[in-house]
Amino acid sequence: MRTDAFQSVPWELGPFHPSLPGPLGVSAQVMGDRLSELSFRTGFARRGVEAAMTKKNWCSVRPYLDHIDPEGAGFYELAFAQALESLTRTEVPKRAQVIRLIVVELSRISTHLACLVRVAKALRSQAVYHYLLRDREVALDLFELLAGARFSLNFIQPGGVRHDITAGFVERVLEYCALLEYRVHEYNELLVFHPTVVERTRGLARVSSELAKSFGLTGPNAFASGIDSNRRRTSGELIYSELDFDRPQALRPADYSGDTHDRIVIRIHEILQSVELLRQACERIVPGDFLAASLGPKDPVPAGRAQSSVSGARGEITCHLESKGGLAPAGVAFDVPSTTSLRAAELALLGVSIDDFELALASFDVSISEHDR
Amino acid sequence: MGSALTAWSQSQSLSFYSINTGCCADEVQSSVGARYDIERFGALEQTEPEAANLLLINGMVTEQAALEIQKIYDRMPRPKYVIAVGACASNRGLFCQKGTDATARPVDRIIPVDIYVPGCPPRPEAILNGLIALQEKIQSRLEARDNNAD
Repeated sequence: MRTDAFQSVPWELGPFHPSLPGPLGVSAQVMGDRLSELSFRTGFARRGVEAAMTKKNWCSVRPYLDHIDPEGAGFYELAFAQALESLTRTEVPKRAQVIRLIVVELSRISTHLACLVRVAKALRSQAVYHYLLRDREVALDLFELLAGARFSLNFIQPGGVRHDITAGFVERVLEYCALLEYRVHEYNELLVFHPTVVERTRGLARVSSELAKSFGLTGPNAFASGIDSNRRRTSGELIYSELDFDRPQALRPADYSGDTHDRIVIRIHEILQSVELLRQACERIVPGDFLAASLGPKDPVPAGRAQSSVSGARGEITCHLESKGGLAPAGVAFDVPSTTSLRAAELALLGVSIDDFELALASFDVSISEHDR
Repeated sequence: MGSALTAWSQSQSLSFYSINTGCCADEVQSSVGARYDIERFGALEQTEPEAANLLLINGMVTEQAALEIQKIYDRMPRPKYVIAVGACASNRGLFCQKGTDATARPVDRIIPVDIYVPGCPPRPEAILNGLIALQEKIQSRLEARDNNAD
C-alpha cells in the first residue's frame, strides 16, 4: 500500500461535542491521520456581556462579570473592581486585600484543576477525572462558605469584598492546602508523569517561545513556552509583593520547552505555588474593615477612563472602563487570554494526529465562554 | 404490566448528551463527578446524540447555536427528552434585556422542553432533582397511557 497516495479529506467536529472545551466549530483537512489544515469557528457563546453591562447601574453590573469566564470568575471581579476603584479613588483596606488574594488564588487552583479534568478526560483516565473533580469540590465548598455560591460568586466588589470571612474559614483553607499538597503526588503518579502520558505528550503541539511572543501569550501557556510571565511579583497587585513566590521551589522558564507535557506540568506547579501563597496570605490577615465604601444604585462615578490588569489563571486579563459621570458605565471592554491561546492552538495543532487533538487542545486551557463573551 | 416495565426501564436508563454553552456546564460536570454521581440514577453521559435519549441544554442559546441544537435534537432517536439547565436556557436569564447585542432565545422556542431547572447556575442537587422529576414524568405519562388503553 502506498501511503504517499493519500489525499487530504475534510474533517468536521463540533460546535457541540463533549471533547471540546466549549462551543467551538472545528474544520480541518486530514492527511492520513494528521491535521494538515485547521480552522476554528467561534461565536456560539456570544452573549454580549460587555454591552449588557453598559445598560446597568454601576452596582448592578457585577453579576455579569461572573459569566465571562465562570471557572475563573474571581479574576474578572477583581479586574473590574480595581479599575472602578481607580476611577472613584477608593483605598481598599488591607484586610480586604488579603481576602481578595485568598479568593483569587483559590480560583486559580479551581481553574487549573478544571483544566486537568479536561486533560484526564481526553486521556480517558476515568479514575483521575473523578479524583480531580472530588478535590475541586472542596474549593467550591470554600467559595460557598465565603460567598454562598459555588459559581457566580459576586464577592469581590469595588471598595473591598462583600462579606467578611467567617470563623473557621482560614483553618479550612489551610486544611485544603495540606490536602492538595498530598494529592498532587497522586496526580503526578497517575497522570502527569505516568510513562504513557509522558511518551504521548512530549513534543506534542509545541509552541516555541518566539511563537508565544508573536501571539502575545500570557500566563501559564507563555510560561510553558519558556517566557517568564509571572507578573504578580512586580505589578503591585494586592499584597503579592510581600509574598515569597519561590516556594516550594523557584520555577524557571528555561526548564520549559512549550509542548503539551510542559503545559500540563506548569499547572501542577502553579497549584503548588498557589498553595504556598495561600498559606502566607492566611498569616497576613489583619483585623479591620473588609469594605471601604459601597457604591449605591444612585451613585454616579466620576468621568474618566481607567484600566487594570490581573494575572488570571489562563493569562493576563485587562479591564478597560469608561465613565461619563453617569449612573451606568459608558464603556466596558476586556482583553482576555483565551483569544490568544485559541489562535496559538490553531497553529500549534497542525500536524497533530486526530487521536491527540483533544488532548493537545485541552492543554491550552481555552475557555470559549471567555473568548466569545 | 408491559408498559409499567417499559416506563420503569425507560426512566431509569436515560443516556444524556449535554450541550455546553455556558457556566451550567461546570455544574453538570460536578453532577457527573463522584460526589453527586448522576450515574446512580441511571443517567450516563454519551458522546454522540445518536446514543442519547436525553438532551441537557446547559447555558445560553444564541441564534447561531440554535440551528446546531436543532440538528442535534433531530439526530436523537425517539423517545427523547430535554432538560433546560439554568436560567439562561429557560428564559435567557441575565441576558433577557433589550438593547444589547445578545441574540439569545429561550430553548423552548427551538425544541420542546420537558423540565426546567432554575438557578444561575443551579446546584448539582437541583440538576439531580430535575432528572428525578423527568423520571417521574416519564413514568406517570406511560402509566396514564396504559390506563386509557384499558
